[in-house]
Amino acid sequence: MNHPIHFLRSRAMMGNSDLCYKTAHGLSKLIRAKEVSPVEVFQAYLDRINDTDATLNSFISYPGEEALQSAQLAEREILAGHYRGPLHGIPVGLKDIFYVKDVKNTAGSKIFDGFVPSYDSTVAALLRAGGAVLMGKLNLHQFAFGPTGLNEDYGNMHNPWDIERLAGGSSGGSGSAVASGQLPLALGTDTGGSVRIPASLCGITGLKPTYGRISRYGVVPLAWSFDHVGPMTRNVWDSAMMLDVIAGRDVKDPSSSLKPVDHYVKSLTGEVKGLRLGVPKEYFELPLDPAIEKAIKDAIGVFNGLGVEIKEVSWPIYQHSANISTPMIYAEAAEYHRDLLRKYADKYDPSIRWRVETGLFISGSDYLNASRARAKYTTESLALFDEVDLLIGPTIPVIAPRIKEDQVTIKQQLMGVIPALTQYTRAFNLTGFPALTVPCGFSEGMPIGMQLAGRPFDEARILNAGYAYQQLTDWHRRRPCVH
Amino acid sequence: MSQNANMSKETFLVMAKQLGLDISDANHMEIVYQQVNEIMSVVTKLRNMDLSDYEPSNTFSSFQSYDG
Repeated sequence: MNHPIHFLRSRAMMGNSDLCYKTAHGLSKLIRAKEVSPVEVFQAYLDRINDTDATLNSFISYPGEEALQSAQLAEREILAGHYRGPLHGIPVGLKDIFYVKDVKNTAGSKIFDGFVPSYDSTVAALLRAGGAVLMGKLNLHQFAFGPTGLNEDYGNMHNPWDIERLAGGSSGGSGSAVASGQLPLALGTDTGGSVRIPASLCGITGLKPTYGRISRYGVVPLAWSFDHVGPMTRNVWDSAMMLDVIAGRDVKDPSSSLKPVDHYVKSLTGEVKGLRLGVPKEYFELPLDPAIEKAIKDAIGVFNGLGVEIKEVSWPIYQHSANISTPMIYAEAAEYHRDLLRKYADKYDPSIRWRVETGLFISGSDYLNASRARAKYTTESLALFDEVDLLIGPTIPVIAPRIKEDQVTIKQQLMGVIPALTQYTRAFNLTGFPALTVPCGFSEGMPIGMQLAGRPFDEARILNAGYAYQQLTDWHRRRPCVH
Repeated sequence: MSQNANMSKETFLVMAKQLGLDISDANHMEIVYQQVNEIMSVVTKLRNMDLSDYEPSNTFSSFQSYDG
């Protein structure tokens, strides 16, 4: 591999681990200043993946020759003065559910092991156009239908902070890869929390934008009306940077919004004085690990110190989120999987198979009744934002459960792992409102996440609040030790 | 189908066959049977919500004109 002499620094001057734990923003500045070449960055991350993936199992398809060529192209373009923007030369991993032309797309199932798309998903095309280096495809819960990151077909994903614990799902490979320095940026999808859950459990930043803000074209669906695409990054700045590249109208996605896109990085002023932050009292009536409750209250204290107005709010309909979401998601998933299931029932993970089969029993009338309940839920939830600008609370009520556990104990109460992991996330898939998770503490050596949510299309305000918080805290800068 | 919250196993198996499911694995079908009854009880709970003022959510366009 020939490194150009025109880039000022060599990898010998900047070790691999330095590069691999830089933020995408930090790498971008180095690349633009020609202090580090995109090929050096590519090689550093490839080495890191080679060193750690036997332990973490974040990847289904590893970056190959095409990724190297993409890094070399970025290098040539930058040297020639053709700088595409902040993602130029930056490695990005995609959950193995986003179509990338000529790259195998499994959706986490051996049923699709031989499937190679002939076109790019819209987000893959936008990332390429922005000069990003697409670094392989990341592991996920089979068909993105589960929050644990367990996968019988491609192996379980492991949490970089403790490999005996769940990375979370369904975008578990994306979470573990970014947290462990295998990648600076990744994309996930979120139907009931699948960006925010692994982001929170792995100690990174994850954004589920408003429904319709990022195109879902070329993304294998789980439940069309709940599916969202979102960035998974080391900090809020990087999420804003990524959102700037991939947000916007796409005529190929019928749910894509016509609403103009903000400039998300420019919105990161760190100024939050006068912001009204709502704390739903219902959050704290649910099972919640006391260490996480304390971390959230400490985070609220940080915002209070920044001149943010804190107000307790009541969200009575919140308790219905699972009851409304579950039949709708099951029914939508059943419609997508109906024919596949008839051919390949024995190749499904049993827990996914029975969920899909259960969905077939939901009638049109029942689905529409749930949809009416969803309309009521969304309307009443939207009214909260008459009182406050953002909602704050935990992302997950427990630290990452151990891989073999299917139940957790919270305050002496036994609870299934799946309902625990999705307790605070599903409401924002049901409503489509944007929600961000950022690290806000540790307990037993494992990360804790705080969730900020807002009005539809208010990503700029949410990101700015997260950014302000990260200016005063260092939870997002901590690194796991993975070999 | 919410009226069938306590669907009999026989009815369930007839429906499962009509829906094209492979019903040969009795253990698996027992799990599906339990899950179907569970989801039907959820659906029945939703029937008890007052939704008189609400049409089905039109997700694909609900926020296209949102000006909040």
